[in-house]
Amino acid sequence: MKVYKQESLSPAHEAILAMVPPGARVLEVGCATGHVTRALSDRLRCEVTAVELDLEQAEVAQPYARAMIVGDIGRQQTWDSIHGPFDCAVFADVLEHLVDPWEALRRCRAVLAGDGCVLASVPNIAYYRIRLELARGRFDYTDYGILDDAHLRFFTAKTARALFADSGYTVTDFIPIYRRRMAARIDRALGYPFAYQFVIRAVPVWNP
Amino acid sequence: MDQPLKLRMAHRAIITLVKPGAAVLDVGSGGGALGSHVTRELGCAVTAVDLHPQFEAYAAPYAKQWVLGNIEDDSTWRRIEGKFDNIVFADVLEHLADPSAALERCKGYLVDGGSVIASVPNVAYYRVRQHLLFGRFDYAPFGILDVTHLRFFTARTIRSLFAECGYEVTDFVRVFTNAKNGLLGRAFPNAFAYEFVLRATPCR
Repeated sequence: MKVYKQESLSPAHEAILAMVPPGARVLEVGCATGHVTRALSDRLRCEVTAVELDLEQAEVAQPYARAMIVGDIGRQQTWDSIHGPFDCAVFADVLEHLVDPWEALRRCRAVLAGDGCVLASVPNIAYYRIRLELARGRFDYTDYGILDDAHLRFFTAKTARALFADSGYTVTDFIPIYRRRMAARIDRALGYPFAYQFVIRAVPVWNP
Repeated sequence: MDQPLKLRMAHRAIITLVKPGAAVLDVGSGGGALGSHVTRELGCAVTAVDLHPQFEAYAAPYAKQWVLGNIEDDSTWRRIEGKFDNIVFADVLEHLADPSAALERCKGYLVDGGSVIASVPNVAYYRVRQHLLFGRFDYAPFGILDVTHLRFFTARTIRSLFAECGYEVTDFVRVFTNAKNGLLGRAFPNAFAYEFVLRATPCR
């Protein structure tokens, strides 16, 4: 199992944290070694329930979470051991690792509080470098990054929004994340070629 | 899947690589077009594996053994009896979360001199390149960006997948969907090939 160990928080993580209300009850899915968990607990004083597939990484993250569940978020039995309600469910760079992120988001609705939300970051497959690489015939998985070899699903701005819409959510915030200074309005007009990731806040549609 | 008896283009390329009279493991047997063809025309003995129980009825008329299960689960492999001359993955590897694990596993189920024959779609097909260049990567109900595809390959990366798993690629066939693409494919083979079909044997 690959270890995602990060010393500092990424800009996407900071964008997610900025949308978490202090003191919130948070479900963090795929906490890895707990760098986001720690910020949620220490900085924002949140009550964090963390879920992680890999036992070793879960053990590292454990001290930062109020509750730690070791399990595969793709399985119903993992969801059965998650007891809400939560004000926020955080999927920081996680949805792209799932075989069925649609199903995970649908199941997540059941553990959210009435005014709860999902906060997620996903990489942008239509980042200019990936476009150019594929244009010259390359689609090479790498150890980390957008084509991380553990990524099973790829999203663009349009399909990331559709992922939430198709899973029963309304997107309330859509934030492109850049690796260097960029005029977001221009990038948006171009179809987000320079956004490395997207951070999304979405709320369930309760009564369609 | 919906047209059980029609052979797809990649299937025709696969069939030319199957050894007549071979013991064949057909992973993802589906509607049985490939399995019934190699049984009937090449005299092969086919073991059919599929994830979906509804395909048992299609496999019944030709298959020597039917195994229901996901090829990514150990329990499925344990129920497969015997060894094979050819293990066929016709448009299957791209549906697996860990295709390397399946290829590693195959080695224990191949006879000496046996081979894996696989077809995979080409993510660097010109249409997909064109779409992504303009920002689109839209999953679809079928095709190269089929929504059930978890892994994407180019000519180079499918070869390296086999190489990394300890196989030597002995045959590599590009499948073109029409004559125009075939013609353009002479100049740009890896942009106009829709799929790749390969045969590979474990390195000694």
